[in-house]
This record gives sequence, structure tokens and C-alpha cells, in this order.
Amino acid sequence: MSAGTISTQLALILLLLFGALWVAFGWWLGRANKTMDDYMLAGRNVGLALASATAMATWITSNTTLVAPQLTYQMGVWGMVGYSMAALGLIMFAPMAQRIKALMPGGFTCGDFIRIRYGRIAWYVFLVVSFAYAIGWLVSLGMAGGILLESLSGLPYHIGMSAILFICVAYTLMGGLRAVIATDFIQTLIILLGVLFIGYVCLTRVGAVEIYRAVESEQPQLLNLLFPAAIMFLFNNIFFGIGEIFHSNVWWSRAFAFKEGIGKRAYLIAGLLWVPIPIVCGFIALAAPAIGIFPPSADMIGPMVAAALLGDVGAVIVFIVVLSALASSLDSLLAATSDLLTEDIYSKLLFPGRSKAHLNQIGKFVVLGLGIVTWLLCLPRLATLGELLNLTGAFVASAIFPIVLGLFRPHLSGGTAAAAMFLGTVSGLVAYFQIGFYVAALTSAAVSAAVCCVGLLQSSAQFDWQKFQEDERA
Amino acid sequence: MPALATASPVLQLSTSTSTSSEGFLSFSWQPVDATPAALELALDSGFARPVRTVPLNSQILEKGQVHISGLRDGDYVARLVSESYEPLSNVARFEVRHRNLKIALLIFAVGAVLFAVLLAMVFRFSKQES
Repeated sequence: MSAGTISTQLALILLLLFGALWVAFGWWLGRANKTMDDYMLAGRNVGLALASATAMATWITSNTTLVAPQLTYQMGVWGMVGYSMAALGLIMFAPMAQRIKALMPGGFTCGDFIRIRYGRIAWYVFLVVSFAYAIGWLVSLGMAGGILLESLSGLPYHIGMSAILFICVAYTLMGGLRAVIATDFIQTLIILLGVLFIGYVCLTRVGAVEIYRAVESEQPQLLNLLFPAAIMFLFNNIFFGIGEIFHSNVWWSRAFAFKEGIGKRAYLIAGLLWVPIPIVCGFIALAAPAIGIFPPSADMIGPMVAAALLGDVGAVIVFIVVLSALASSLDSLLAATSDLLTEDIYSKLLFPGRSKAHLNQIGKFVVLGLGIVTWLLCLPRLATLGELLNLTGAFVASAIFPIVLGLFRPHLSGGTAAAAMFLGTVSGLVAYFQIGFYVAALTSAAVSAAVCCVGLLQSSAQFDWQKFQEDERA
Repeated sequence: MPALATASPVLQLSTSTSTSSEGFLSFSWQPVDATPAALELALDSGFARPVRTVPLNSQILEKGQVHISGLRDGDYVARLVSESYEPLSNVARFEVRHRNLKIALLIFAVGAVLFAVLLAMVFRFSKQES
């Protein structure tokens, strides 16, 4: 057992303990689910406290606790600041959540919105974008689970990854979004307390001056505010975060699930509370040279530094914090992606006209199937978390402008929206492979915005907002 | 500590890239009986003044790889050494050439303008709706 890590046996006990707790909680909450609205959208009756907590917890992912330190270790100060700016996605989504609820009070998915607002071609493109992201995020979360257990306890990657996926699939399956939101509330408290404690210990044990001196001496480029790749990364990460939130059913399903008038305030509170989390997580990585820690791979730097600083007890805290962050996002993504698959692919595309009770059952099979597909894709550990996650930036950023313009303005046509998402994604992928991960989302958003701009100048389209009400009645 | 030539290095050290544009890269080797204590990085092939000596902990040794970041521009050499600074591997060569700062600032400016446009759109539109 390495210094600062926990034994494999203790890791398994913690995993079983928390796993059993969350699965039991999910089962208990799931008993109240009677309808499809209950299972998929928690009865559309979520209050402010739970709403803020679930938005915040879902956005504090294992990626925040693992990739924020990774990006700080690789990109320095700008990496840390850039990651924290992902909170802008939540803050800017606040007014949009209000508009979404007003336009589609009985809506289920973001796919519904795109299909009604822009038509089928744009809907197909959007589904490709959305599933590419959902699978990328799910796989990165599954991989994070394996990496976490491996780095903190020596448990083989494949066993840890499988165990975490199994737990999250089990309680999401039993409790639906109600269980996801309730567990998120508890997980938020654990994450906040744990991260603040680790940051405090890092600051008091190592000291800001010592950290600065060590980084300046060992990794000077990390303090360079004119670090070219990091400069490019800053707005890329902002657009990546905005694209993730604006397009993803994880956030739309919550907008539908929150009580009337709650969404705007909940997303605003969650965004503001989220800002310091990546700063603390990233700051921990900057302490690495001061305590002589170098990681085997970049995504292991956060847990390694925290475990080294806090010793055996600290390793347990780190383990629980990251496990909570991981579960709070994995469950949300499983629930939201299964909603999208059930509502958009199964109900609207393949088998239209099925009853809500039937769809409710199908939704549960989809959660299970999605868990199995994620597990299969996680088996070969193909990329680091940062690389995998940033690849999806090319997809999601392309949807930002079509979604904003589609929500608030009637002039953008379906053809232009489809072209904007398609060309944005392609150019983002070209930038990813030709330049680097740190320009993919920005390139995608810029090309998509340019296409929207040209489309608006040439368009005479006038969308009738009544179509949303007509579709809900149908 | 002067560098010693290795006639037949025990460990084969390799880098994840021969040119890094971001100042970070990974080093890997096949774990064998010989246990290196550190990875030495230098700008001169004689390792007269190593720019960094990275201690190798048990997790690094177990995996046979380490990730380094924060390097400035330069032509670097790297090797694995024992506790007594005896070379245990071949000398791996790589260069760090950070991306053009003017292009980076241009991309930053494009991002800033695009973000300002998006921010104005979201808040203006939502204000009009409410």
C-alpha cells in the first residue's frame, strides 16, 4: 500500500457501504413513482433547495474533481480559472430554464424542443450531437470511477469501474429522477464539506508561498499568464461548459422537473456556488511540486496530492468525496439520456403512439442498457479523461447558438440550425485533431454562430410558438 | 554529478511525443528488475545541469510511466537514473515548442467577442420575454 492510499479491502467496504445506502435510498424513493412524469421528471414538483442542490451536484462531477486538477497541472493558472468559468453555463442557463418551462410546461426532453422548433433534419443532427456527448460523458465518468479506485486503493481499474457503474445504474433504475435528485442533495453536502476541508489542509500544511515557489522553480510555465495553449483553452472551456449545459437533456429535464418559477433561481444559485469548487480542486494540483508528487498520468494528480497531504484518513475523505461527485453526475446522466432515448428515439422515431405506462417500463430497460453500453466502452481505457471529455466539446458547442436563437427568436430556420450544428461539429473536430483539444469547442461555436448569422440574414422564416402547445395536446 | 555513458541501458525510456506544443508529455518504460529512483531532464546531452529531477514514487514505478508538465521551450534530453545517479536507461530526446503567442491571443480575442455576443443575446432576449 502506497503512502496516502487506502487498502483495497477498505475501498471495497466503503464502496459497498455507500452503494448499499444509495441503492436503498433509491428503492425507498422509487416507491412513490406511479406515472411517467414521476419516474422521468420527479412529478414536476421539485422545490428550490433540492433544485439548487441537484444542479450544483450534477455539475460537480468526477471531472471537476479529477479533470480540474489535471488541467491545472497541465495548463497552470489559466487551466484552473478556465475550468471554474464552466459555472457560466449554469448561470446563463438560469433565464433559459424559465423560458423552457414557460414554452413547454408538459415537455419531456430537449429533443422534443428541437423537433418541434426546427423540424426533423435538425432533430436528427441534434440527436447525434447529444448522444455523442452523453456517451462521451458517461464513459469519462465510468473511467473516472475506475481511475479513482485504482489510484486511491490499488483496486484494479476494471473492477472499480464496474462496481461504480453497477451502483449508479441500480439506484437510478429503482428511483428514477426522484432518487437522482434526492441523492444529489446528500452528495452535494459531502462534496462541499470534503473539498473545502482538503483545500484548507493544503493551504495550511503546504502554504501558498511554498506552493508558488515550488511551481515557479519546477513548472514555471504553469504560472505564465501568456502560456499560449492555456490562453486558447480559457474561452474554449467556457464554450464547452455552456454547450454542455445548453444542449443536454440533463439540464432540460431538470428545467421541466422544477416547480414553476424555481428554475431561474435554482440555476443561478447553483452556478454561483459552483465557481470556487474547481479553483480549490485545481489549487490542490499546484501543490504537487511542493510536496514532490508527480503522477503516472495527468488525471491522477488530484487524488494523489490530496491523499499524500491528508494521510490515511484523508485518503478515505478523498475517496468518499470523489465517489459522491461521480455518482451525482453518473445517475443524472443515466436518467436524462435514458429519457432522451425513450422519448425521442423509441417513442417518437421508432414506435410512435405507445402508452405512457409502456414508455415508463421501456425507460427502465433503457437505463439498464445504457449502463451496459457504458461499461463495454469503459473496458479499454483508451484516452485520459481530459482528452475524452474535450473531444465532445466539438459536438456540444455547435448547439449553443441554434438553441438560444430557437428558444427566444422565431426567425432561425430548421435548415440553418441543422447546418450550424453539423458544420460547427465538423470544424470543431478538425480543430481538435489538427491543433489540440483546447480549441475544439471554441471553433465549433464560432462556425455555428457564423452559419446562424448568415442564415438569419437570408431567412424569412417565422416560427409559430403555438406549435409547442399543439404538440403537447397531441 | 557527471553523466555516465551507458553501453547497454537496462530500461528503454520513451516519450509520448517528440514535440510538445503545450509543455507537457508522458514518459514510459517497461518495468523490469532495475528500479530507477528518478527521471532526469536536461537541456544538454551531458546532463551537466539537469533542469528537473523527478522522484519516482511507487505508483509511477508500478505503471512504468510519469507525466511531466510546465516545461518551457527547448530541446530536452531525459533518462532514468538510480539513487546514486547512475544512468539506467537510454537518453530520450524531445523538444518543447509552445504555440505562437500571437495566434493564441487572436483565438482568445475571438472567444471573448463571441462570449460577449452570447451573453448579450441571452440576457437581452430573456429580459424582453419577461
